[in-house]
Amino acid sequence: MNLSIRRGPMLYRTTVVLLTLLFAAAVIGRLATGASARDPYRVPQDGQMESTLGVRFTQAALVGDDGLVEISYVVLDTQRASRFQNDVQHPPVLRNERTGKTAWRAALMKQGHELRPGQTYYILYLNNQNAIKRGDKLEIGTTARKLAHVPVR
Amino acid sequence: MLGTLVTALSRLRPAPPRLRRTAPLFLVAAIVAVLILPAPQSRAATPEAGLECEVSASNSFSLTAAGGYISTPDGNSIFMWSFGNSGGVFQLPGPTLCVESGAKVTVALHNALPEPTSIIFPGQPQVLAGGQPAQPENDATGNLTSLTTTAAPNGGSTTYTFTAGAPGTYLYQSGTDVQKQQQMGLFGALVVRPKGHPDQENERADSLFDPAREYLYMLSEVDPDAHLAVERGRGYDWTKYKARYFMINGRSMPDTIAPNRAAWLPNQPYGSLIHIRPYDAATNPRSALIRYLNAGVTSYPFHPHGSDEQLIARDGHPAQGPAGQDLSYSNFLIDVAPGQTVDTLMTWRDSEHWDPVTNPIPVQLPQLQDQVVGPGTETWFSENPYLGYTGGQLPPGVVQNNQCGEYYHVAHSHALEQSTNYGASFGGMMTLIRIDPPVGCPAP
Repeated sequence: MNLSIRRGPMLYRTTVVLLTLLFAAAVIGRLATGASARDPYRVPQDGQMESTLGVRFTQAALVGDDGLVEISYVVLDTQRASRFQNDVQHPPVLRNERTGKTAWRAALMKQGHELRPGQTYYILYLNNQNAIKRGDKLEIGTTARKLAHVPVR
Repeated sequence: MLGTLVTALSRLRPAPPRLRRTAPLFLVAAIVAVLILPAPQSRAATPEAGLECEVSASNSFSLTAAGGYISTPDGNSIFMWSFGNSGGVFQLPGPTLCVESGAKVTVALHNALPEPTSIIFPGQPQVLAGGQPAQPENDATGNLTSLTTTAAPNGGSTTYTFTAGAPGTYLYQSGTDVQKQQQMGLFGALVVRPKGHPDQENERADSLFDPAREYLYMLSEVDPDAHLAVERGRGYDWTKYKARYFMINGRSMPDTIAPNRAAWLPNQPYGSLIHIRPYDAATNPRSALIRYLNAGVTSYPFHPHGSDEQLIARDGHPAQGPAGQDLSYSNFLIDVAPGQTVDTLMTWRDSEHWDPVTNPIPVQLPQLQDQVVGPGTETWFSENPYLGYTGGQLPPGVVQNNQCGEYYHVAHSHALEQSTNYGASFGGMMTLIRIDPPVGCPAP
């Protein structure tokens, strides 16, 4: 490590500069592991689907230590959203775009008939045999349309 | 850029030879230190579920009272005040401080709020503030304004010190303008562990628990109108108080079952999913420990479905008689009063041992729509009643529908309004207890 003696001052200075930069990178990297450094999360939007269903899907997430899949949606049109929610014979099907596996059994969703525009509701699905994994992308299939490339967080 | 830096350095006066020899070594050591050493006040590795402790080798903590926002599952955003780690992000509730009984604890409070605030430590004797006994404060007319010594607004600070008392679970919370500041979120948990027994709730050997199955439920509620008034600097008529959101660890269902430090809840780091396996004398003999705290203003009758819990301590006092006799008892309902803490042990036993061959249970498949809209016995139905059973003969057309044959039990406030998000069920003070098969759930 005694570079100044063996290899000359230029190599020594270069090494010091490199190490200083590495030190700065390490500090920044350590600080950047906080919550504020996470990538933005975006769900694709489909105007036609939203117009038909009266809802906009806003999130797909693994919860329950990965045993459940949470799909969140915000109500845009109360009447249409009510029809969507009460079509209990046809809850949306979640298809993993990577593997083709599906999660389709809803375990829990909103009860009652009162839907407020602008309010977010959710459906929980059983993650049958690990069909969905964090980092995957989903296709949310409804009777009306399919919403592709929904990232799972 | 590198060349420019090197050139610039070359114009500087040469460093002394000794410094030239040690500088690279010093930089390498500094890089290694940044990468591997924990901060003086740090938290243990974050588990996906379960208690997350804030620990300090010197039992010194630095908290900042500040304002910030939380989100609710219905899409609302609420302005809160809370204690967060100084230099860290805003969080609700405040960090869970974990210390040993008898430890000398220091909590430095920095106040970034526009009014005085403070911390009281119920259950901790002889708390000092700035080295002097912490004292109530009064205004010029003699009215009590704070139960303890305050930190001045907009940058003031004060330091509390005390010797951690008996092992147990305690609140720490604002002692200033209590009705307003506690509602705004100025509270957190203090866990005092018995010295030398981190796997016991208290000094009693029968309070042994599985350290990997330790949970904390900080129960609270929010009146969003009050918070909006504070955010906008307006007064609020507290006789109109009406809580709309009910929370466990600052989250409402379904956020309660999201992982600790979920990316979409940056200011609400603590989940409340319980994740356990059935009791087995050989492979899983220890109970889970659940620490309940009520930071609200009303009782929260909390009910875990599927298994009663054994109440072993309340407010830091073990459930025992004068001669040390065990007075713990099994509870269907954990009814936590305001300001109270209750600790329970939970052991889930597979009592019936349902088995598709040796002990079958007739299962009537529910209608799909009943499963979707619930509630009822069919809610959480996974097509198979046998714990851990994922193969074999199933009814025609039926497949296994969960991860590895696990069970889910709801745990929630039995005051059902408290299990809603602004009136919409299911939500609020509700979470899940997940029971994996005895062999566990294989990693996906």
